[in-house]
Amino acid sequence: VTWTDPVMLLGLAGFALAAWLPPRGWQGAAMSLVGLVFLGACDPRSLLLLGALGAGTYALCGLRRPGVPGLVLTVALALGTLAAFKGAAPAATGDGGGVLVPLGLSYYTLRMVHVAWERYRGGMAPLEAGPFARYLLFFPTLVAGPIHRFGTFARDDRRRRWDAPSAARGLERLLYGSVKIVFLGNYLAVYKVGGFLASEHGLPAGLAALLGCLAYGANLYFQFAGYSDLAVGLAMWAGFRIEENFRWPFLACDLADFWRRWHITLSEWCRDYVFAPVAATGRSPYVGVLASMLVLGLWHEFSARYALWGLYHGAGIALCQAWKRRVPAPRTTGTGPRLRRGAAWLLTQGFVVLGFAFTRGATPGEAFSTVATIFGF
Amino acid sequence: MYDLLRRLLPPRWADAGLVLWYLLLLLLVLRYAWTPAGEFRYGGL
Repeated sequence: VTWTDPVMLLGLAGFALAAWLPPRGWQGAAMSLVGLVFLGACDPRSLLLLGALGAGTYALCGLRRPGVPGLVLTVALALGTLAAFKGAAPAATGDGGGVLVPLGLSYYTLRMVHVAWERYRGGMAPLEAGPFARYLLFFPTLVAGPIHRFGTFARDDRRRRWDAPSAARGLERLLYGSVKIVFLGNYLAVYKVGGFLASEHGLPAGLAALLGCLAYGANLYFQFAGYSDLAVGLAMWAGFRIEENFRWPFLACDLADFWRRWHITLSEWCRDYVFAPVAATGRSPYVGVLASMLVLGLWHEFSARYALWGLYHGAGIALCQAWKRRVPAPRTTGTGPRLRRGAAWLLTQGFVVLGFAFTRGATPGEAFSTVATIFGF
Repeated sequence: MYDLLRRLLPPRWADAGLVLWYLLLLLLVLRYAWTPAGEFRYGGL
């Protein structure tokens, strides 16, 4: 499913109308119906899975606060299903066969784990079936996130009312998102730069490999930030404020900061539900960072290249944190700090761009050969 | 964008500038909407 598919455009228009056209009491059901019909039309397997896993989460954690067995069972059901499909996906099997991951499964399973965990911790009131169903079937975030939290969604679900300035800002975000996907991502990064690099360009091999990684990263950013803009904008139109997913990641001056700006909702999910428990159990933040970045990598795809990419970033963050602990905080005025900041930016962004070699190549071997080409070996 | 235009231009010109800005973006989208989509595998889509 892409932005310009008729089913996506129909879904966008249907949701925008369903949010305000029916009588007040029917609007929530109408919005959920759009999500349900969209998912059923695009991928009926995914709709069945969402229904079954959602009912399971509600039964185990919805009304009564779950104990450890309830939490473990819910998390195992959600993540086990996700892992089974990711493991059987064509990219993971590597033989061209396999089963496609159901549409949106990667996102709604993480939402279910969030709900189960918060119910276990006591940070969330008993669930009502209506808002929980609306949360899972929320059309704007159904297929590409953000992984929004139930608490803020339920609050907006109760309080939402028509607000013209907010709706106008939502439409503006829809326009910006479309420009990012269509013009900056598809046209400039893929069609123009990618086309140039695929032609007889005459550039040195190292520079061409570096530009290839840059164009790949730029396309990824524009596409994903564009889809996130569409989700935030459409939700804003409907009176919901959902979490932002990107905040100028290419301005980050250290790796931890980069992950507070890139796919923010997934980073925060990993921080809360992987890093915190692992770091608390192992009593080491470094083990926690490596574990959460490995999970983050494997969430994208069950393959050696994504596992390596996750561990590469995990090791980078751990090194950054260790450096910050050992080296005293520098002065903040004068030319020195500005130079240091520039060097930190260059190092961070260089590290990130090199990391794209892992996910761009089909195998880790291809990634290492790209990195070697960039450095002239 | 409107805040930036208001800082640079008188109010009426800022309004016109905003309309032109939206029109430009809309034209860009309509012009390039049929470019083949780039690879994008981020969990869901």
